[in-house]
Amino acid sequence: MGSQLALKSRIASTSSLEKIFNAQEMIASSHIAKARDVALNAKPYSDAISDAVQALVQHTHIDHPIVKKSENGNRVAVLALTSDRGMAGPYTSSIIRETESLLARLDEQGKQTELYVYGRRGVSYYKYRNRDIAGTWEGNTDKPGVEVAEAISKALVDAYMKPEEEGGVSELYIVFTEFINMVVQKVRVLRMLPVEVVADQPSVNTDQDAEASPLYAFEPSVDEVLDAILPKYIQSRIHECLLTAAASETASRQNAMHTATENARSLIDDLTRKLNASRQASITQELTEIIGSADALNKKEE
Amino acid sequence: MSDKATMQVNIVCAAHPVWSGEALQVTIPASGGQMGILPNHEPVLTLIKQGKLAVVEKDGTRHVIEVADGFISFDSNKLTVAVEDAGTLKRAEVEETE
Repeated sequence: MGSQLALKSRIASTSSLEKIFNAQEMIASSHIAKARDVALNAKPYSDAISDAVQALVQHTHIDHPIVKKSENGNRVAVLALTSDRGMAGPYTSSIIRETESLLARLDEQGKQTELYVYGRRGVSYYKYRNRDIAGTWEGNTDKPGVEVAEAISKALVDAYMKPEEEGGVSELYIVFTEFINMVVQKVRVLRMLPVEVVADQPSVNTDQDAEASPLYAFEPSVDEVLDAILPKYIQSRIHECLLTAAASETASRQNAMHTATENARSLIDDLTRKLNASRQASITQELTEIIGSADALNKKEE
Repeated sequence: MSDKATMQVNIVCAAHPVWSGEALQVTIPASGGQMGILPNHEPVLTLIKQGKLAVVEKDGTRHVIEVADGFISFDSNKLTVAVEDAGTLKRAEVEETE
């Protein structure tokens, strides 16, 4: 009888957990639609900036520090994009694993690394281990706004533009999760700075030579346009990374919660079966006892 | 009015697209001062500073949009305005011209 009570209470607690997981899963799937909207809304801007940078590359010889850092520095910045909240399966842990292996690789090359972290989980992971972090940002990892992208890119570009002696860095890597589809998200390491500006594919150029290269007039001057647009380009690239990371986070949370719901359900099924078996066993035992004692009474009367 | 030359205008800010459509004329607060752009302008890439951007639509409607910090690029009769500040962009107002 005692085991029946225990089973009943386990079933009750598992089913309330199941409800929570299920709710989390539904919240995550509703967020995915929003994340997709945000990403789509930000696309025209980043396209416009990429086009402008493309135009600059085609018409001028860029000699800007963002594209080519003159000094060969030894300091490297790494930005890891983690999540604010847990319950997202292996999302943050795989980012941290990738970041650690990147840091180790850079260490082997004799580079000095500086770590920047976005997302509460990552920040608390490194704080707990007393690691030096150059900069952290928290909040809204599942729906990063322009402000966060602006703050991050400003800090990183500042660190990049500073000369080496004053603590500047010469390269910037971003570790983020790429959203491939709802089921597959992949951790990727991207070298953000110095920018590798790739000119349009030559095949495109030969096809439509006349239209492909309009001769732009740059105002007030090429240098000033470059100065203004390249940081914006970095910011929009970082924003793009934040958005794909947010979409991946939501998707991986949805997957994790889906699995958790399924597990809770199968656990409830198992427990219910055990409960039924034990109830059946106790009934059978009671019946045997009754029949046995009735038999015994009958025999005495005979 | 309809046979006047028009150009494709696309105004975007960092967080979302703002406006797009055909326009007869666009006035932008370029870094060197106000700059009017008519259809078939030469290809140009210009920084813009804070100010009011005015678009005259095909039917003569005039939109005035607050912009801050961005750039415009014009080529093959397409004008792209990319600005960063979303806060001021929300105060887009529409003025009817007679």
